[in-house]
Amino acid sequence: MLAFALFGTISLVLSIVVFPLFWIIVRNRTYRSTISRDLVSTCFGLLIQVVNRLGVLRYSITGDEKIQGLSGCLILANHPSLIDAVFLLYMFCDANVVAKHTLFSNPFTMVTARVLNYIPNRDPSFMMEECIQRLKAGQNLVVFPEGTRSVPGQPLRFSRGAATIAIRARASCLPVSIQCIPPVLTKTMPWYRIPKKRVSFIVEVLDLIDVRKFVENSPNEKMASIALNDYLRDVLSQDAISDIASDNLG
Amino acid sequence: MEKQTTDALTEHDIRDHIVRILVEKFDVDANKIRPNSNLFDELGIDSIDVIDLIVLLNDTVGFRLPSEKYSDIRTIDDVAVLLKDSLANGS
Repeated sequence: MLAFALFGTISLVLSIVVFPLFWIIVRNRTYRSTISRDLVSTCFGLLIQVVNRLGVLRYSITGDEKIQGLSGCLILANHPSLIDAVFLLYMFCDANVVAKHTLFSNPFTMVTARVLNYIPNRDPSFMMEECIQRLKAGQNLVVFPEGTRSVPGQPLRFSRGAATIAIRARASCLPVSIQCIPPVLTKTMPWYRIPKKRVSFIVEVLDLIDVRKFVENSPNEKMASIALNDYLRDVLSQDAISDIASDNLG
Repeated sequence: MEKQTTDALTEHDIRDHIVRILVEKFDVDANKIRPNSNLFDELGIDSIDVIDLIVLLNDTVGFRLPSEKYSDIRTIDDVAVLLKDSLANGS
Protein backbone atom coordinates (compact mmCIF):
# COMPACT_ATOMS: atom_id res chain seq x y z
CA MET A 1 0.00 0.00 0.00
CA LEU A 2 2.95 2.28 0.69
CA ALA A 3 4.13 1.74 -2.88
CA PHE A 4 0.70 2.74 -4.23
CA ALA A 5 0.70 5.82 -1.98
CA LEU A 6 4.13 6.81 -3.17
CA PHE A 7 3.21 6.38 -6.81
CA GLY A 8 0.02 8.34 -6.28
CA THR A 9 1.84 11.15 -4.53
CA ILE A 10 4.48 11.46 -7.21
CA SER A 11 1.83 11.47 -9.94
CA LEU A 12 -0.25 14.05 -8.10
CA VAL A 13 2.64 16.44 -7.49
CA LEU A 14 3.79 16.18 -11.08
CA SER A 15 0.37 16.57 -12.66
CA ILE A 16 -1.02 19.28 -10.37
CA VAL A 17 2.06 21.35 -9.57
CA VAL A 18 5.10 20.66 -11.67
CA PHE A 19 3.73 20.13 -15.16
CA PRO A 20 1.28 23.07 -15.04
CA LEU A 21 4.27 25.22 -14.04
CA PHE A 22 6.27 23.84 -16.94
CA TRP A 23 3.33 24.56 -19.23
CA ILE A 24 3.35 28.22 -18.20
CA ILE A 25 7.08 28.84 -17.83
CA VAL A 26 8.72 26.71 -20.51
CA ARG A 27 7.42 27.88 -23.86
CA ASN A 28 9.58 25.77 -26.13
CA ARG A 29 7.54 22.63 -26.71
CA THR A 30 10.47 20.34 -27.52
CA TYR A 31 12.55 21.44 -24.55
CA ARG A 32 9.50 21.27 -22.28
CA SER A 33 8.70 17.69 -23.26
CA THR A 34 12.37 16.66 -22.95
CA ILE A 35 12.78 17.93 -19.40
CA SER A 36 9.35 16.61 -18.43
CA ARG A 37 10.14 13.14 -19.69
CA ASP A 38 13.51 13.25 -17.93
CA LEU A 39 11.72 14.15 -14.73
CA VAL A 40 9.25 11.29 -15.10
CA SER A 41 12.13 8.91 -15.76
CA THR A 42 14.00 10.13 -12.67
CA CYS A 43 10.93 9.90 -10.45
CA PHE A 44 10.06 6.43 -11.65
CA GLY A 45 13.67 5.36 -11.16
CA LEU A 46 13.52 6.57 -7.57
CA LEU A 47 10.18 4.87 -7.05
CA ILE A 48 11.63 1.59 -8.27
CA GLN A 49 14.56 1.93 -5.89
CA VAL A 50 12.29 2.71 -2.95
CA VAL A 51 9.94 -0.23 -3.49
CA ASN A 52 12.95 -2.44 -3.95
CA ARG A 53 14.50 -1.27 -0.66
CA LEU A 54 11.14 -1.68 1.08
CA GLY A 55 11.14 -5.32 0.00
CA VAL A 56 7.97 -4.96 -2.07
CA LEU A 57 9.57 -5.78 -5.39
CA ARG A 58 12.87 -7.08 -6.65
CA TYR A 59 13.87 -6.48 -10.20
CA SER A 60 16.38 -7.25 -12.88
CA ILE A 61 17.14 -5.23 -15.98
CA THR A 62 19.47 -6.81 -18.52
CA GLY A 63 20.55 -5.77 -21.97
CA ASP A 64 20.12 -2.08 -21.22
CA GLU A 65 23.47 -1.30 -22.81
CA LYS A 66 21.55 -1.62 -26.08
CA ILE A 67 19.59 1.52 -25.20
CA GLN A 68 22.65 3.77 -25.56
CA GLY A 69 22.49 5.97 -28.62
CA LEU A 70 19.10 4.67 -29.71
CA SER A 71 17.46 6.86 -32.32
CA GLY A 72 14.36 6.49 -34.45
CA CYS A 73 13.63 3.16 -32.81
CA LEU A 74 10.36 1.45 -32.06
CA ILE A 75 10.54 -0.15 -28.62
CA LEU A 76 8.03 -2.97 -28.25
CA ALA A 77 7.23 -4.78 -25.05
CA ASN A 78 4.80 -7.39 -23.89
CA HIS A 79 2.44 -6.07 -21.24
CA PRO A 80 1.74 -8.35 -18.30
CA SER A 81 1.23 -5.70 -15.63
CA LEU A 82 0.55 -2.01 -15.00
CA ILE A 83 4.08 -1.83 -13.58
CA ASP A 84 5.49 -2.25 -17.11
CA ALA A 85 4.99 1.41 -17.91
CA VAL A 86 6.93 2.51 -14.82
CA PHE A 87 9.99 0.53 -15.89
CA LEU A 88 9.77 1.47 -19.55
CA LEU A 89 9.39 5.18 -18.88
CA TYR A 90 12.32 4.96 -16.49
CA MET A 91 14.53 3.13 -18.99
CA PHE A 92 13.56 5.04 -22.14
CA CYS A 93 13.43 8.57 -20.79
CA ASP A 94 13.10 10.35 -24.12
CA ALA A 95 10.62 8.05 -25.79
CA ASN A 96 7.25 8.95 -27.18
CA VAL A 97 4.22 7.10 -25.96
CA VAL A 98 0.74 6.60 -27.37
CA ALA A 99 -1.72 7.61 -24.67
CA LYS A 100 -5.47 7.27 -24.29
CA HIS A 101 -7.09 10.26 -25.90
CA THR A 102 -9.25 10.82 -22.79
CA LEU A 103 -6.10 11.92 -20.92
CA PHE A 104 -5.92 14.94 -23.22
CA SER A 105 -9.39 16.13 -22.24
CA ASN A 106 -9.51 15.10 -18.57
CA PRO A 107 -8.89 18.26 -16.48
CA PHE A 108 -6.58 16.34 -14.13
CA THR A 109 -4.38 14.84 -16.81
CA MET A 110 -4.64 17.08 -19.84
CA VAL A 111 -1.72 19.29 -18.93
CA THR A 112 0.47 16.28 -18.17
CA ALA A 113 -0.36 14.61 -21.48
CA ARG A 114 0.37 17.79 -23.41
CA VAL A 115 3.54 18.71 -21.54
CA LEU A 116 4.92 15.22 -22.12
CA ASN A 117 3.85 15.56 -25.77
CA TYR A 118 2.39 12.08 -25.93
CA ILE A 119 0.45 10.93 -28.97
CA PRO A 120 -3.34 10.66 -28.51
CA ASN A 121 -4.95 7.46 -29.79
CA ARG A 122 -8.31 8.99 -30.68
CA ASP A 123 -7.96 8.93 -34.45
CA PRO A 124 -6.16 5.76 -35.59
CA SER A 125 -4.97 7.21 -38.87
CA PHE A 126 -3.64 10.36 -37.20
CA MET A 127 -1.99 8.29 -34.49
CA MET A 128 -0.21 6.04 -36.97
CA GLU A 129 0.94 8.94 -39.09
CA GLU A 130 2.22 10.83 -36.04
CA CYS A 131 4.10 7.76 -34.81
CA ILE A 132 5.71 7.30 -38.23
CA GLN A 133 6.70 10.95 -38.51
CA ARG A 134 8.28 11.05 -35.07
CA LEU A 135 10.26 7.87 -35.78
CA LYS A 136 11.45 9.28 -39.10
CA ALA A 137 12.52 12.40 -37.22
CA GLY A 138 14.82 10.24 -35.09
CA GLN A 139 12.66 10.01 -31.99
CA ASN A 140 12.02 6.76 -30.16
CA LEU A 141 8.56 5.33 -29.51
CA VAL A 142 7.42 2.84 -26.90
CA VAL A 143 4.41 0.68 -27.74
CA PHE A 144 2.66 -2.38 -26.44
CA PRO A 145 1.73 -4.34 -29.57
CA GLU A 146 -1.07 -6.06 -27.69
CA GLY A 147 -2.73 -2.71 -27.16
CA THR A 148 -3.75 -3.76 -23.68
CA ARG A 149 -2.44 -5.92 -20.84
CA SER A 150 -1.97 -9.62 -21.53
CA VAL A 151 -4.36 -12.12 -20.03
CA PRO A 152 -2.25 -14.42 -17.84
CA GLY A 153 -2.00 -17.90 -19.28
CA GLN A 154 -3.23 -16.82 -22.71
CA PRO A 155 -1.02 -16.51 -25.83
CA LEU A 156 0.06 -13.00 -26.74
CA ARG A 157 -2.25 -11.36 -29.28
CA PHE A 158 -0.39 -8.70 -31.23
CA SER A 159 -2.21 -6.18 -33.35
CA ARG A 160 -0.41 -5.47 -36.62
CA GLY A 161 -0.38 -1.75 -35.85
CA ALA A 162 3.06 -1.56 -34.26
CA ALA A 163 4.66 -3.68 -36.98
CA THR A 164 2.98 -1.54 -39.64
CA ILE A 165 4.39 1.61 -38.07
CA ALA A 166 7.87 0.06 -37.98
CA ILE A 167 7.70 -1.02 -41.62
CA ARG A 168 6.36 2.29 -42.92
CA ALA A 169 8.87 4.30 -40.91
CA ARG A 170 11.65 1.82 -41.73
CA ALA A 171 12.37 1.98 -38.00
CA SER A 172 14.46 -0.59 -36.17
CA CYS A 173 12.60 -2.52 -33.51
CA LEU A 174 13.90 -3.13 -30.01
CA PRO A 175 11.91 -5.88 -28.28
CA VAL A 176 11.75 -5.73 -24.50
CA SER A 177 10.63 -8.82 -22.65
CA ILE A 178 8.88 -8.27 -19.34
CA GLN A 179 8.02 -10.89 -16.77
CA CYS A 180 6.18 -10.32 -13.51
CA ILE A 181 6.29 -13.18 -11.04
CA PRO A 182 3.89 -13.69 -9.37
CA PRO A 183 1.43 -11.71 -11.50
CA VAL A 184 0.35 -8.38 -10.05
CA LEU A 185 -1.77 -5.54 -11.42
CA THR A 186 -2.76 -7.71 -14.34
CA LYS A 187 -5.78 -7.31 -16.57
CA THR A 188 -7.77 -9.90 -14.65
CA MET A 189 -6.68 -8.97 -11.14
CA PRO A 190 -8.10 -6.13 -9.00
CA TRP A 191 -5.47 -3.51 -8.22
CA TYR A 192 -5.77 -4.08 -4.47
CA ARG A 193 -4.97 -7.77 -4.72
CA ILE A 194 -1.34 -7.76 -3.72
CA PRO A 195 0.49 -11.10 -3.76
CA LYS A 196 1.82 -12.38 -0.45
CA LYS A 197 5.11 -13.28 -2.12
CA ARG A 198 7.56 -10.53 -3.12
CA VAL A 199 7.17 -9.64 -6.78
CA SER A 200 10.05 -10.32 -9.15
CA PHE A 201 10.05 -7.99 -12.14
CA ILE A 202 12.37 -9.09 -14.91
CA VAL A 203 13.09 -6.86 -17.88
CA GLU A 204 15.28 -8.08 -20.73
CA VAL A 205 16.19 -5.80 -23.60
CA LEU A 206 16.55 -8.12 -26.56
CA ASP A 207 18.50 -7.66 -29.76
CA LEU A 208 17.69 -4.88 -32.19
CA ILE A 209 15.73 -5.97 -35.25
CA ASP A 210 16.48 -4.49 -38.66
CA VAL A 211 13.11 -4.33 -40.43
CA ARG A 212 14.68 -3.93 -43.87
CA LYS A 213 15.06 -7.68 -44.21
CA PHE A 214 11.30 -8.07 -43.75
CA VAL A 215 10.64 -5.44 -46.44
CA GLU A 216 13.13 -7.04 -48.84
CA ASN A 217 11.73 -10.53 -48.33
CA SER A 218 8.06 -9.60 -48.73
CA PRO A 219 6.02 -8.73 -51.84
CA ASN A 220 4.46 -5.65 -50.20
CA GLU A 221 4.43 -3.68 -46.97
CA LYS A 222 1.36 -5.44 -45.61
CA MET A 223 3.01 -8.87 -45.89
CA ALA A 224 6.20 -7.41 -44.42
CA SER A 225 4.29 -6.11 -41.41
CA ILE A 226 2.51 -9.44 -40.94
CA ALA A 227 5.85 -11.27 -41.01
CA LEU A 228 7.40 -8.78 -38.61
CA ASN A 229 4.38 -8.95 -36.31
CA ASP A 230 4.58 -12.75 -36.16
CA TYR A 231 8.32 -12.58 -35.47
CA LEU A 232 7.90 -10.04 -32.67
CA ARG A 233 5.13 -12.07 -31.10
CA ASP A 234 7.30 -15.18 -31.15
CA VAL A 235 10.27 -13.31 -29.69
CA LEU A 236 8.24 -11.84 -26.85
CA SER A 237 6.34 -15.04 -26.13
CA GLN A 238 9.36 -16.79 -24.74
CA ASP A 239 8.40 -18.06 -21.31
CA ALA A 240 11.80 -18.98 -20.01
CA ILE A 241 13.71 -16.52 -17.89
CA SER A 242 17.29 -16.34 -19.02
CA ASP A 243 19.92 -17.34 -16.48
CA ILE A 244 21.51 -13.92 -16.68
CA ALA A 245 18.23 -12.18 -15.91
CA SER A 246 17.32 -14.38 -12.95
CA ASP A 247 20.87 -14.15 -11.54
CA ASN A 248 20.58 -10.36 -11.61
CA LEU A 249 17.47 -10.15 -9.46
CA GLY A 250 18.15 -7.60 -6.73
CA MET B 1 -14.60 9.27 -58.00
CA GLU B 2 -14.36 13.01 -57.56
CA LYS B 3 -15.59 14.72 -54.43
CA GLN B 4 -19.34 14.87 -54.73
CA THR B 5 -22.38 15.67 -52.66
CA THR B 6 -24.69 13.00 -51.42
CA ASP B 7 -27.37 14.12 -53.89
CA ALA B 8 -25.24 13.03 -56.81
CA LEU B 9 -24.19 9.70 -55.31
CA THR B 10 -26.34 6.65 -55.03
CA GLU B 11 -25.63 3.87 -52.61
CA HIS B 12 -24.62 1.84 -55.60
CA ASP B 13 -22.00 4.42 -56.58
CA ILE B 14 -20.60 4.48 -53.08
CA ARG B 15 -20.45 0.71 -52.84
CA ASP B 16 -18.82 0.47 -56.27
CA HIS B 17 -16.15 2.92 -55.21
CA ILE B 18 -15.39 0.98 -52.06
CA VAL B 19 -15.17 -2.27 -54.00
CA ARG B 20 -12.82 -0.66 -56.51
CA ILE B 21 -10.51 0.45 -53.70
CA LEU B 22 -10.58 -2.99 -52.12
CA VAL B 23 -9.69 -4.66 -55.42
CA GLU B 24 -7.04 -2.16 -56.56
CA LYS B 25 -5.39 -1.24 -53.27
CA PHE B 26 -5.92 -4.29 -51.09
CA ASP B 27 -5.75 -7.09 -53.68
CA VAL B 28 -9.14 -8.45 -52.69
CA ASP B 29 -10.65 -10.89 -55.16
CA ALA B 30 -13.58 -9.07 -56.78
CA ASN B 31 -15.48 -12.33 -57.14
CA LYS B 32 -15.61 -12.75 -53.38
CA ILE B 33 -17.13 -9.35 -52.69
CA ARG B 34 -20.79 -8.98 -51.72
CA PRO B 35 -22.42 -5.98 -49.99
CA ASN B 36 -22.65 -7.90 -46.73
CA SER B 37 -19.21 -9.52 -47.06
CA ASN B 38 -17.42 -9.46 -43.74
CA LEU B 39 -14.21 -7.57 -44.32
CA PHE B 40 -12.27 -9.51 -41.72
CA ASP B 41 -13.57 -13.06 -41.99
CA GLU B 42 -14.23 -13.26 -45.72
CA LEU B 43 -12.02 -10.70 -47.45
CA GLY B 44 -8.78 -10.94 -45.48
CA ILE B 45 -8.94 -7.34 -44.29
CA ASP B 46 -7.71 -6.48 -40.81
CA SER B 47 -7.98 -3.43 -38.58
CA ILE B 48 -4.93 -1.75 -40.09
CA ASP B 49 -6.37 -2.21 -43.57
CA VAL B 50 -9.58 -0.58 -42.33
CA ILE B 51 -7.56 2.44 -41.21
CA ASP B 52 -5.87 2.62 -44.60
CA LEU B 53 -9.23 2.22 -46.34
CA ILE B 54 -10.69 5.09 -44.34
CA VAL B 55 -7.66 7.27 -45.18
CA LEU B 56 -8.25 6.61 -48.87
CA LEU B 57 -11.95 7.45 -48.45
CA ASN B 58 -11.00 10.64 -46.55
CA ASP B 59 -9.04 11.68 -49.63
CA THR B 60 -12.07 10.94 -51.76
CA VAL B 61 -14.59 12.97 -49.77
CA GLY B 62 -12.19 15.75 -48.79
CA PHE B 63 -12.69 15.51 -45.04
CA ARG B 64 -11.90 13.09 -42.21
CA LEU B 65 -14.54 10.49 -41.62
CA PRO B 66 -15.42 10.20 -37.91
CA SER B 67 -12.76 8.03 -36.30
CA GLU B 68 -15.06 6.84 -33.52
CA LYS B 69 -16.96 4.86 -36.16
CA TYR B 70 -13.97 2.78 -37.26
CA SER B 71 -14.52 0.09 -34.66
CA ASP B 72 -18.13 -0.44 -35.85
CA ILE B 73 -17.03 -1.46 -39.31
CA ARG B 74 -17.48 -5.12 -40.16
CA THR B 75 -18.87 -5.29 -43.72
CA ILE B 76 -18.74 -3.35 -46.96
CA ASP B 77 -22.24 -2.13 -46.19
CA ASP B 78 -20.94 -0.66 -42.91
CA VAL B 79 -18.30 1.31 -44.81
CA ALA B 80 -20.88 2.44 -47.36
CA VAL B 81 -23.25 3.62 -44.63
CA LEU B 82 -20.43 5.50 -42.88
CA LEU B 83 -19.48 7.21 -46.11
CA LYS B 84 -23.07 8.04 -47.07
CA ASP B 85 -23.96 9.40 -43.61
CA SER B 86 -20.79 11.49 -43.51
CA LEU B 87 -21.49 12.95 -46.93
CA ALA B 88 -25.05 13.71 -45.90
CA ASN B 89 -23.83 15.49 -42.76
CA GLY B 90 -21.13 17.32 -44.64
CA SER B 91 -18.37 15.93 -42.36
